[in-house]
Amino acid sequence: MKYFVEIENQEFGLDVHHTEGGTIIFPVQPADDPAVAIDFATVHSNVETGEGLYSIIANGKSYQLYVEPQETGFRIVVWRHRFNLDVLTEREWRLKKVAPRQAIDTGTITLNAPMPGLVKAVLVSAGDVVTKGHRLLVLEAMKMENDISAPRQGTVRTVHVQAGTVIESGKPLVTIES
Amino acid sequence: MPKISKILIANRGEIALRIVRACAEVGITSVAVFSDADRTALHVRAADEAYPIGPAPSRDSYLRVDKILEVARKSGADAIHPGYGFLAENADFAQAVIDAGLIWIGPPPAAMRLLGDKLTARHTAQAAGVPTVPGSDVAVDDLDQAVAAAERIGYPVLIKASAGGGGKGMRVVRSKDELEAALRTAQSEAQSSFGSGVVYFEKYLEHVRHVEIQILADSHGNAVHLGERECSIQRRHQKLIEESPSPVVDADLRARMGSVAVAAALAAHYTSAGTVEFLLDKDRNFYFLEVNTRLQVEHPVTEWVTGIDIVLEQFRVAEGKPLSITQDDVEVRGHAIECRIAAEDPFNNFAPSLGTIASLAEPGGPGVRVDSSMYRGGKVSIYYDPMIAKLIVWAPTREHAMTRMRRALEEYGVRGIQTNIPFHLAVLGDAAFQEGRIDTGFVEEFMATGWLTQKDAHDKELERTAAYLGALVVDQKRLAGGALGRQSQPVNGTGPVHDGSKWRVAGRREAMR
Repeated sequence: MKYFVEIENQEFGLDVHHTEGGTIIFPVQPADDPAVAIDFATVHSNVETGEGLYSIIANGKSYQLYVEPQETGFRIVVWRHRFNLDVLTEREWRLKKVAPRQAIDTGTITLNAPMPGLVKAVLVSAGDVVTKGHRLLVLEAMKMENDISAPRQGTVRTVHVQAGTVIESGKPLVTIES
Repeated sequence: MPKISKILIANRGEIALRIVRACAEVGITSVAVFSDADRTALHVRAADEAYPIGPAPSRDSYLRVDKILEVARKSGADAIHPGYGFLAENADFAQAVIDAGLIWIGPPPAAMRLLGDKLTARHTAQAAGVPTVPGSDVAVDDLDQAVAAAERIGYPVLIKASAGGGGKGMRVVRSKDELEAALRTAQSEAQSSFGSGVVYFEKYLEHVRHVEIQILADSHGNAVHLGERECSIQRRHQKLIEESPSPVVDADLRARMGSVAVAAALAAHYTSAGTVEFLLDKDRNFYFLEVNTRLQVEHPVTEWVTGIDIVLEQFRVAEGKPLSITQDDVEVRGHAIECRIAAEDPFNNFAPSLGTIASLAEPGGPGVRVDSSMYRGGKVSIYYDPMIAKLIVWAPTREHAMTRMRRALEEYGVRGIQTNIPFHLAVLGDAAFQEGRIDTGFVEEFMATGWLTQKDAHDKELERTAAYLGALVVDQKRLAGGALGRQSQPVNGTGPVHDGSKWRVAGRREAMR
């Protein structure tokens, strides 16, 4: 399972594999980091929140870290550091990537597919006036149905896809004009 | 000679526990007092007896002379130890204890009055031939006097409250323009904090060290000094790190400073434990600053390098016995360092951090002493001082003591509240500190170096490991079927769906097969 961890203005893409021999993390971002064999143990923790003390032995190196859940993400205390981090699943990460910049209020914007998937439903057609947050289409990907919503108000100029088609990541979905 | 058999400890926190421990070691019954906020505190649980004295605010409990004396009567205590802070330097309280027919474990009230007032203490020191920081020597009441005094002493000058302490009523003045406003604020701060608006001037010495001498005196005219403590690592006049010996004080300077400290004590007919504070300049000239007429927070570093238990000596002196040691017995051996652990957030400008201690791992191993009020489930409240523990280490050399302190700080796991441990670790890693190049301006300069954001390879490695842990914790929860951490956004028209809930459904299906 792939996770993307935002920590101190950096992003780590980590592919976590559980094997019979233990857990292995394959860094996918930065991709040139070597794979790490991880022995991960809970010393004590709150099962509901995840707060607690954990021991990690990574490639033989031993660390103990304390996890404090925050409103979003975690704070991890280790040695003299206090790291704030946000852990996203691959799907959440891709959705976040496609979310257009808030600052743009006028002009034409085209939403692209954040991940490969099946267009489950198209909910608008050309000429429709939409408000910010209006659901435009539903993309089924990674076993989940994901709403693609209007980032701001405007008029739908073009719908580039049809329901039932399988699309590649980055494919244009809808163009909106303000 | 009166034998003490039961001591009431008019204090709380780590120092109350320190005194409870001393009692236990010599077969004296200990009596704790506690406010409503401290029912489960360590000092209450460790003491032989414990009595409530009122609501959480200090003025309603730990500062209530009447209630404390009432508990002393009720419990049959024959002596009172005040610890530090609260009533420890209140001569009226000391007198009230004596008037109640109890033994006061501290200096005589007259000596407390003489040395507790800074201006009087200066005069006493000068009369005993002790060098003082150049200053006004008399109270400065109005602007005309202030201008004249400042001109004579030379800028920058420090305005100090005669009755003061803890940085209140204290102002640095660098030029004549600032004088009037600073004088007025210092006077009004002094009036409101100490009930006396009397201020005086001292030359403000920069790039000096704060070095203090521990003294012990008995009622038979014996007085000794136990060497010095270097306390230059301060933030806003609050000490953070203390060590003994000072990296710059040699045997000769120690003997000279020690003998003037003893002279000042004898001149004031002082007994029990006390501390004479000095400033030490680059040329190793020393100047008398003030006397603390109590057991000091940082007394453990002296105890460790001299092997003398200062609290037990206080008990002896209070019983009218002579000190168990002479000056010839005092030998400074090895090196001790203390870090004051405070519930203050160094990542947030040292703001007080309130809350419950969720998990606690205290350091141990060779050469480590922990004097602490912390326990799992314990609360840090707004009512009391944020200093919640002291970590003290000893080693044969300063170098080893520093690496030992770093090791012990790394072991110290306090969770649920923020502490200044990360700051201590950073200071211990600083080259100037390691070389002993410190003065009272150290912390301010160190803070300006951006210590919080500097990262080396080790720091980056920890950052990466923290990222691994974040992914693993979320992954573990996912496998267990929960929805920990970042909550998924609602993603379809039928209502919120979380990653975890689908996994949970899948898991249940598996289980039902």
